[in-house]
Amino acid sequence: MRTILTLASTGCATVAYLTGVARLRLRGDRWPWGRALCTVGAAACVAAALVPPVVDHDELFPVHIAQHLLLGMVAPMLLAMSAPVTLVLRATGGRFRRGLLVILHSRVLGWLASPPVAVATQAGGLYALYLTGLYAATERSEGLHLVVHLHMFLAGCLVAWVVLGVDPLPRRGVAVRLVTLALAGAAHDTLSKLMYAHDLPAGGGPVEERRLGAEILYYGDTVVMVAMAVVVMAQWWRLTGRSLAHQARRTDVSAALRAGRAGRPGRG
Amino acid sequence: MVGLFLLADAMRRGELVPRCWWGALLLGTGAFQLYDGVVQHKLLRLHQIRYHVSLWPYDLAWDVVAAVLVALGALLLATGARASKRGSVTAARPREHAE
Repeated sequence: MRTILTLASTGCATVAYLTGVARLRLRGDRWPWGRALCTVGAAACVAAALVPPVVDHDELFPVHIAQHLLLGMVAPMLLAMSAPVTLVLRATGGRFRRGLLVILHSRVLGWLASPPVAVATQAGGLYALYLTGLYAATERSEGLHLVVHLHMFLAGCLVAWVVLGVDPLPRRGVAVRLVTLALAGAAHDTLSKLMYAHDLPAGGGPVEERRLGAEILYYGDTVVMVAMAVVVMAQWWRLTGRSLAHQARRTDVSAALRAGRAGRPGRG
Repeated sequence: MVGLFLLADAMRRGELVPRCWWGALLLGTGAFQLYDGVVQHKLLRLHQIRYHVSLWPYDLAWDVVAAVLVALGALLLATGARASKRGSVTAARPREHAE
């Protein structure tokens, strides 16, 4: 039942996104295919984390960590790169669009999407989950398990949205975004080392499994963080390249004007 | 990773001074190795180069290499900076951009 629900909701989200893209394309607007591909990838990650075989074995701690990486790190990164908010703003109109803009400009969202709050929301949740008895409690309660997964995904999205800055939440400079990424990464690295050193979380099975989980978290997290840094720097590279080309064109024009004036002194 | 992007950007602007780049690379490498050898190996005793042997030849070689890297890096950086300042009339001119 949960499998069907998961597949249906990720499928619906993907179809809704692609419908939006189709609407823009039919209107003659451009929308990069790479973004659509990112949405499909994000939906695939969420689905992979929540349907068998992964979900059947998530009482094993390393499997739980793999689930965590897919749901809380990779899927949010891909989703943030696919710019769904921008797509909705461009594909819809009227009252719906105005309502969305009110939410986007609201003080609460601005506060949530500030770098320190985003990092603290994610890191706080993870520290509470793995360093306290919360992890053991999620194994007993299905509802709590669901809430933890939801928090993992949403907090991951918050950090990915702030760092990648594709959608029009309050946009930050490259330096702020890189520092945010570094802080989030440092918090995760410290967490996985604490887990390894103190054999946490309680309820994570035998010691070898807990250590393996901590290692997967450490290395997997590093890979995702480096990938996000590459995305941020690639954006910067493209942006500065554009302004360099613009500058070069302007100096070319002024040089040509000067040459023209020097070449024809008698005119004017 | 961020450094590689910055390096590529300096190259595309035509502002890269290779001698400064090598100098900074060696200086950074040497400074980290010296810190690792002194603070982590000796003061904190976190990890060692080898175990169950007499350590001092290894430590000495480690720290001397680090010091040489630092000195070489600083030298390259200083001479590179001076050379680029002298030649700044040509160095400051950005390379033409292909459209």
